[in-house]
Amino acid sequence: MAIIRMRISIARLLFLVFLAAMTSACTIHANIPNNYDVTYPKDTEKIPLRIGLCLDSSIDNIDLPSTPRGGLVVHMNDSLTRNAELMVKRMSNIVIVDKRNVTNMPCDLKSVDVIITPVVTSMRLHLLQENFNQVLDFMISIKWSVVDSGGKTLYVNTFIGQHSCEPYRPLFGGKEMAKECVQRAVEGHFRKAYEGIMTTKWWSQAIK
Amino acid sequence: MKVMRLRLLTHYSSITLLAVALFVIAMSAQGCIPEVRHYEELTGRVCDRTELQESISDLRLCVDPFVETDKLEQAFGADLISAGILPVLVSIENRHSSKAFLIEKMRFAISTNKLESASDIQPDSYPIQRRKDHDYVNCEVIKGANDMFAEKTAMAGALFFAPPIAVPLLLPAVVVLLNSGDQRINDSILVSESISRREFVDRTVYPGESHQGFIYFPFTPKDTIDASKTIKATIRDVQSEQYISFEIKLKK
Repeated sequence: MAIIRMRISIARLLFLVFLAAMTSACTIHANIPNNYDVTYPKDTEKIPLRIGLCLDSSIDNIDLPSTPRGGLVVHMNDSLTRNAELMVKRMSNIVIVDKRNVTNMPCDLKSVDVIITPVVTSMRLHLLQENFNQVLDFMISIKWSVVDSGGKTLYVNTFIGQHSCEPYRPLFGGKEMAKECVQRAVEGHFRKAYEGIMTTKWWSQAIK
Repeated sequence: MKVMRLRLLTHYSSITLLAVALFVIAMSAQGCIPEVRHYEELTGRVCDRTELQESISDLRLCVDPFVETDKLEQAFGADLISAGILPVLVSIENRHSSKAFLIEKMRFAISTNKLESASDIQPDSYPIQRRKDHDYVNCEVIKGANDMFAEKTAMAGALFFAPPIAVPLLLPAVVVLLNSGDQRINDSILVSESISRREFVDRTVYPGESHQGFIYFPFTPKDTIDASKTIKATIRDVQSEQYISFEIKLKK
């Protein structure tokens, strides 16, 4: 009798450990690829300046857990830095990229007319509930600054990319949906940033 | 007879195990996912509806402090004043024919007991903050969610080791307790989301353009809006690099 009771207790304990392991281990990891291209408006006039792009590690390899429970983690890898590089290379014929592995260190960009710096100001991944569906909502906000070689600020703007995907089902294609959701938001951000930076003609100040 | 009783006991334990397992899975899958709420979008020109404004060299700055509880509930879904935040809707209109201006949130300040800068409190630091270089998370929410996870584990454990007869009695109480906790987290996420989505962002404003958004200042519930409270702002002319200073009293 005592043995049977002990067996039941052990079985319960093991089951509890199993459940605890299941709930903590069931985190989906979505790796965002860098091999997708953003479609930008064609036939845009190029900026007649030598541009330096200053990238530091603050926008590289960001790992973002979902809120509120963190059942999903998005690994941005180098998708932001690569897209920033591609975007700026479309803006001018002469682009020099300075990529740093540390944060808050000024770039050493000589022989350029202006330096463009992107800084991630906010990034969120929410799991929301709308009626009976789960909604995955991703938002990224990046501040783009342009300074001339003398350190004078010529242009600043913050662009937001946001995309919601539903119905989000973690166990049925959740990883792919998370990737798509993040990619669309990132694409949206870069399109807005390109249009915003190119339409204001801030470079007329730098040419004077 | 003894074997029969043992079998029954084992069978009963299995039912309890199954109930607890279902409970834990249901709670962990659906537990604290917030319901999407849509707050009122703030459209329209701020300068048309507020007297608190000042114009200097074709640049107009208008401010609209949100202090009324109803207004705050409508805009953010929470009384931010009681949380120590004063949201001020700020609008800049550039009516100059050729000049561009750089508007930076850090160059706005409020004079309460002492002069406090807008950079002292931002959605990035309250409640959303940059925890470390590569990890942008809502700390308050994560903390709340972690607390909830501990509570859930403790409750599941209590259910697990409770005598089978007590499980049906304990279950409703546990569900009620967890739901109230989930609601706390949901509200926290949604409020912080509505705060940060409407935040004023730094940008250059070109001729004919306008820009608006909320700037959040520290404000204790004991503070009141009176004539001594002023919003101070310095805005930079991009070409000449000179600053234009604004000072608007929050009560006329």
